[in-house]
Amino acid sequence: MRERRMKYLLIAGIILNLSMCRKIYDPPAIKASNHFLAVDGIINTEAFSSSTITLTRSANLLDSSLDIPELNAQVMILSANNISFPLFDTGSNGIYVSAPLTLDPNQQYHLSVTTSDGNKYLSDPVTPKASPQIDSLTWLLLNNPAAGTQVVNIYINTHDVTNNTRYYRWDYTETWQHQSPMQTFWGLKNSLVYPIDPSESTFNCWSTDNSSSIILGSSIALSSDVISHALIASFTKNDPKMDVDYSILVRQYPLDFNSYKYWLTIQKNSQSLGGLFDIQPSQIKGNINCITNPNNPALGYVSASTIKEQRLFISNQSLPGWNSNPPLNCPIKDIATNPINPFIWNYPDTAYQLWYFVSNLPPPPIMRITYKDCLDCRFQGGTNIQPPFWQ
Amino acid sequence: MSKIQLCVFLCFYLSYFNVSAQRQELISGNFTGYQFSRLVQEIESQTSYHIYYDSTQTDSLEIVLNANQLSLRQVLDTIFKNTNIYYAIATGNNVFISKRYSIQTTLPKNFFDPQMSGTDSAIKTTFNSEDAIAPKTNLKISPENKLFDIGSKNEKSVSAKPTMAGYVRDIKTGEAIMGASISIDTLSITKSTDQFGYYSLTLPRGRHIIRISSAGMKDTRRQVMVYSDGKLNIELEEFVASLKAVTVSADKTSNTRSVQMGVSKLNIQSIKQVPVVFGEADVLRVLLTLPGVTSVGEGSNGFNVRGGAADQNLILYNDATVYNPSHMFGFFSAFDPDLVKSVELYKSAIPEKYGGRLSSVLDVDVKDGNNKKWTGSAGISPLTSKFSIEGPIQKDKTSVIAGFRTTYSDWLLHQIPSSDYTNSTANFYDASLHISHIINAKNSLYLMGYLSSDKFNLDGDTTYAYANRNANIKWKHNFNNSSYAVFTSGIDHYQYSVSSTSVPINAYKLSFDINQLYLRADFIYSPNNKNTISYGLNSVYYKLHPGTLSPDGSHSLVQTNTVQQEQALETALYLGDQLTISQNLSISAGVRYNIYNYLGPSQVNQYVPGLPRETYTITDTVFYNGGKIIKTYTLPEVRLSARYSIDNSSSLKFSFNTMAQFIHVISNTTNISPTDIWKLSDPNIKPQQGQQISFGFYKNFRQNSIETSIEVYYKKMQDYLDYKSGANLVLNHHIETDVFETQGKAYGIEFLFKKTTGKLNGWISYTYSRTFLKQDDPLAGELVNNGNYYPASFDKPNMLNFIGNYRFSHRYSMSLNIVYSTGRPITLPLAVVQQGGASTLYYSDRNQYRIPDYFRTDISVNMDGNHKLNKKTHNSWSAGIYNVTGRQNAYSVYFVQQNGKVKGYQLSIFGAPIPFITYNIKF
Repeated sequence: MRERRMKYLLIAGIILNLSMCRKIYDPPAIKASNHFLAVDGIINTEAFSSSTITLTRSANLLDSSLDIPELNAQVMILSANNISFPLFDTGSNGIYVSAPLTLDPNQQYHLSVTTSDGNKYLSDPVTPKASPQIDSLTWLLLNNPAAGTQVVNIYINTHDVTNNTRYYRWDYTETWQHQSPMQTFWGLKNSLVYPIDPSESTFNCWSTDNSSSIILGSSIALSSDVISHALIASFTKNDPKMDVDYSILVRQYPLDFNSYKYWLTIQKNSQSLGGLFDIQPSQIKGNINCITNPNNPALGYVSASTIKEQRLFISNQSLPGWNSNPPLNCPIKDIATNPINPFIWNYPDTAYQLWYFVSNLPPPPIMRITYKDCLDCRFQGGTNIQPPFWQ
Repeated sequence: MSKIQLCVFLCFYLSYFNVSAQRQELISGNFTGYQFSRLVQEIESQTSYHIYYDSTQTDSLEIVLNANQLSLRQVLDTIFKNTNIYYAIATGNNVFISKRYSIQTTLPKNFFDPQMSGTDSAIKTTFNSEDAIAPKTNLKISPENKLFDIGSKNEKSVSAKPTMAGYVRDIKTGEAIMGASISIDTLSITKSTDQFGYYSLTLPRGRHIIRISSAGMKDTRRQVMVYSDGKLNIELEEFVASLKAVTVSADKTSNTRSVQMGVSKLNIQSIKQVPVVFGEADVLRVLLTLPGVTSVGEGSNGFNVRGGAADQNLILYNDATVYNPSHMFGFFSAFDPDLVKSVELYKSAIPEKYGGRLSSVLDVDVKDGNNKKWTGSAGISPLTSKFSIEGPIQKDKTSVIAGFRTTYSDWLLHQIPSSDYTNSTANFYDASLHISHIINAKNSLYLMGYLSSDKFNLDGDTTYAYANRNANIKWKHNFNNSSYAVFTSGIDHYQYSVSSTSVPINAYKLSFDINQLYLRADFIYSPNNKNTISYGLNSVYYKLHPGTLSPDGSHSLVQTNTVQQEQALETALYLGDQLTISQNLSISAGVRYNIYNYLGPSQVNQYVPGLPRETYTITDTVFYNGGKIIKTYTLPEVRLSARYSIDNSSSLKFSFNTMAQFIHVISNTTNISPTDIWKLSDPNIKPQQGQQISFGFYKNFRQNSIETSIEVYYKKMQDYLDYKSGANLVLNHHIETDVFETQGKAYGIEFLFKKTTGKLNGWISYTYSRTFLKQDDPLAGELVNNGNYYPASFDKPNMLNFIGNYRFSHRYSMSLNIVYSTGRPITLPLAVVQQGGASTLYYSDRNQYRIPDYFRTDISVNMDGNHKLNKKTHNSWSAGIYNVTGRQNAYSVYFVQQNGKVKGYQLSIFGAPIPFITYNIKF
C-alpha cells in the first residue's frame, strides 16, 4: 500500500456581496379597488323589536381609514311570504334600523340591499332561531401566575332545555365609570367662574364601547345543550375600565351550524398574522350574494333569531388592591384672584382651569388651578351623563 | 450449438489426453483460390485429421498455396499467415480453427494450484501459451483476451444452467459500480449490477462472451467458459472521453433499454458538470433540472416530483432517511458531492422495496472508499470549504471514506453594508463516514454515519436551526450465486428549532424532532435470467416530538408547552419480480403490504361523528398506555411497469403504482421562513394514498448520443392534508382540528432532450404539470373554493430547464444553466372588513394568485489542471456568475401586521448577480 501525503492548499476567496433584499409585495390584486359590500347585523325576531343592519365597504390593506360606511342604500327584510319590512338609514354611519316589528318566527327571511351604485344583494333565506335566556353572567378574580398578576374574567352561563341551540355567539356593550383625578365644583363661562350644578359635574364619566372580537361557544360535543363558564371578557389588574364601576351588557345570538362556521372564520381572520405562531389564511364565505353581478364579492352572514341580553356590574371595591384612580400629571398652581371680582378668569394658559378657591386670611382668596384634563373626566373619553341603567 | 462452441467443448474434453500421439501426415496440391471449406475437405481426404472450424470465420480467407509434401502445420501456418486465425492440433488428430484466440488443448500449469482458492477459486485464466502454436502477433494479455473458466468441470452435480455471479468494480478505486449492464448478445440477456455492484447471470454451459458497460466507464468484455456455478469479478476502467470521436456502442445501457420508467439516474460526473451556485456540484440542484422535478421556491426545503408535495419524497442517503436534504435556505443540498456515487430518482415505477411516500424515492448512494490506495480531495470557495479522504484500512478488504463540509458565510453576511441583514447569520456543516468491509466471499459489512446541521437567522431576531443525524449498518450475505440478502438496521434523527431571544422576557425556543429506528431485510433471488425476484421486510419505528416551546434564558417568562409525543410502527412486506419475457418485452411487478400501528402512550381526542373535527366537537379524550396499539391501518400497494422495445433505439414504457404514506407534513407557509410540522397518521388522521399511471416514449438518435423522451402521467391522491381556514399549526395539541383531508389529482407531460456526448452536451427539459386538490365534504370543514378543485400550494405548471456544457478542450469548459418556472400559488389578503365589531381580513380564494415567476441564469467556466495520470495532485478552478440577470426571485412572500396595517413583503436572498470562484484539489 502506498500512501500519499495529503496536500492541502488554501486560497483566499473573493469577498462577495450577498444581495439579500426585502421589498414591498403589492401585486395588482392587492392594489385593485377591493371595496366590497359588507353586511353586519341580524334579523331580530324578538317581539316588538327593531333590527339593526350595518353596511360598510371593505378597505384596501393600506388604506388609512378602515371605516367606510355605505350610505343611501335601500335595505329590506323580506319574508318568504313576500312581505317586506324596510330599514332606514340612521345617518352617516351606515347603520340601518327597522321600525319595531314582530316577525313571525315560523317564516323564513332574507335581507335585500340595493346600494346607491345600483347593485342588488340578497342574503340566503334563513329560518329564525330562538335564543334561550341567558342563565347568568358571572365573574371571577383569578391569579395569573404566569403574568404575575391578577385577572378578572367574565363568564356567561346558558342552556337550552330543548337542546336546539347548540351554537352561540355573544357580543357586548360595556360601560365603565371613570373619574377625573381631582374634582371641581366650578365651571367657566364668559371668562367668569361659577359654581356648577351637580349635573354639570365632570368628575364622573361613563364610557361605552362595543366588543371588538368575535365570541363563540358551542355545546355540540356535550350530551345536553349547556354552556357553562364561557369566557366573554378578561381584564388584567389595574385595567382603567375597572377604576370605579364597570358594567357589561351581553347579548346572545343563537346560530346554526353554517353561521357558526362563518363566525369562526371571522374570529380566526381577525387575529394577527405573519408570525411563527400565527394562523393560516382563511376564506370568508357568507350567505350574501350580489345578484346583479355574481362576481362581485359580498361579505357577511345575515341570520335571524331572537336576541337575549343580560347586564352585570363589577365594582372596583370588590377588587382589593386594584387602582382606583389613574395617576395623571397634574401640576398645581396658586394664582391671585382679581381684587375687584374674584370670579374673573383671565389666566393666559388655556390648559388650566380652576380647581377651587383657597380662602386666604386676610382675603382676597387665591385660585388653586390645575390642568383641565385633571378636572374633566371627559378628556379620558365618555360622557358625564349617567346612563339610565347605572346603579 | 455453433461449430465453434462444439469445437470448444470437444477441445476441453479431449485435452485430458496426451498431445504427443500425432504422427506426421503430408499434404500436396495446388489449393490457390480454394474456399477454406474445400481445402478442409481436401486435407481430410489426404490425411486422418479432422478439422473443426466456424465457416463464418474462415470464408473470407484467401488461399494462395501450392503444397508439395507439406505437413499440416506448414499448410496452416502458410494460409493463416498475417491473419488472426489460429489453429490447435489436439489428440486424435483433431484440429481446431479459431479466430482471434487460440484454443488451448491442455490444462494450464496452475490448474490445480491451491493458491488460487479463495474468493475467486473457480476462476482460472488460460493464455495463448501452447507451444504448438506460434502466435502471429503479440497479443496484449488483458482480461478481455483471457478465457475465464467458470466453475469446475469435474463437478459431479452440474446443473444444466449454471449461475455466474460477481462484482463489478472500478479498477482504480475498487469501488462497486452500480447499474453496470452485463449482457450476452447471443442469448439476448441483459442484467444490471445492484448497489453493491453485484450481478448474477444464468447461462447455459459453454463458452460465452459477456459485454459489460457502464456510464462513464470503458466498455469491456469477458470470455468465459462456463462449467458450473462460479464467480467472476470484473473491473472497469474509467472512460476518458475523447472530444472529437466518440464511439458509442449500440448495446450500451441506455434509457430505451432499462425496464424502469420515470427513473432519472445521474452519476456524480454528470452532476459535477452542471454549473451551480458558488461552484459546488450539487445533487439536488441537478435533480431540479430534470423533467418533472421542481421546488416550491428558491430556498425551499426539498423538491416536488410530478405534482407531489415535498414531504412525499423518500430521500435515502445510503438507506438512511434524510428529512431535510438542504442547506442554507435550500441553496445547497446536504450531500457532499465528493462522497456521492450516484443519485437515482424514481418518479413513477417505484420498486416495491421502497414505500412510505407517495411521490418519489431519491436514492443517494455513497461511494465506497478506495480500497487500493489513499486519496482525497479538497475544495474552497468564498462560501464553503470541504475536505474528503478515502482509502484502504486493509487493502482490498476494508476501506473508508470520510468527508466534511462547512461554511463561513456568517463572515460574508456581515460584510453587507447598511442592510437589514447585518445581524443575519447562516452557517452549516455536514459530515459523512462510510466504511466497507469484506468479511469473506459471502459476507460484507457496511457502516455509515451522517451528520448535517444548519443555523440561520434572516432578520436578526429569529434563529432557525435544523439537523439530520443518521447511522446504519448493512450486512450483505450471499447464499449462493443466485440469491443474496441485505440486512440493514439504523437510526435516523431530524430536529428543527426556532428560537428568538431579542426580547429577554419573551425569549423562547420551539423545537421538534423525528426519530426513526428501522430494520430492513431485502432478499434478491435470480432463479434464471428471466426472473429477478425481490422480497423482504421493512420495519420502521417512529417517535415524533411534534413541538416543545420552552423559555430561552433565565429572564424569559415563557411557559413550557409540549405537544405530546407520537409513536408508530410501520411494517411492510414486499414481493416483486422483474420478468424478461423476450428481448423486447420486460415486465416488473410487485406488491407491498403495509401494516401501520399507531402506538401509545397517547391521548386521543374523540369527535362527534358526522361533524367537522373542531375543538367544539371533541366529546372525549382517551388515554392509551405506552406500547398499546391505538389504531392499525393495513394498506396493500401494487407496482407494475413494463418496457417494450420497438427497435434498438426506441421503446415504450408503462407503469402503474399505488402508494401509501403514514407521515405527513403540514407547511406553515405564511411565515418568513417556512416551518414544517410533521404528523403521524393516527385515529383521526388517515394515511394518504396515491395512484399513478404513466406512459413514456423514448427514442435515441445518433448511436444513442442523443436521448429524447416524452412521459405523461396522471395521479390521484386521497387524504392529502391541507390546512383549514384559519388553522393554527404550531404547537397545536389537536392538529386534526386544523387540517382536513383533500382529494387530489395531478397530471403532466415531460419532455427531455439530452445530448450526452460531444463538445457541446447537456439537456433541455420542459414539464407541464398541474396539481389540484379538492375539499368538497361539508362535514369535514369549510368547502375550499366552493368545493371545486384548487391548485395545490406546490402547483407550478410550466418548468423549463436548460443545462449546457461546451468543452473547448479537455481542460477548459463553459457551462450555462437556465431555469424558468411559474411562480407558486398564494392566497392573498385582499381587503379589511368590519364584521361583528372585529376587523377581519378578506382573503382571495385559496391559491388563486401566484408569486412572480422564477427565472435564473448561471454561467460558469471550469478550468482543469493538466491531465497527466501520474501527477500527484489534480486541481481545478471554477468561476462564474450565479443569477446573471440579477432577477430578484422570491425566497418568501409573507404578510405582517405593522402599525395596524397588513403589509406584504417579498424577500429575495440572491437578488443580484453573484460572482463566485472555487478551487478544488484531488490528491
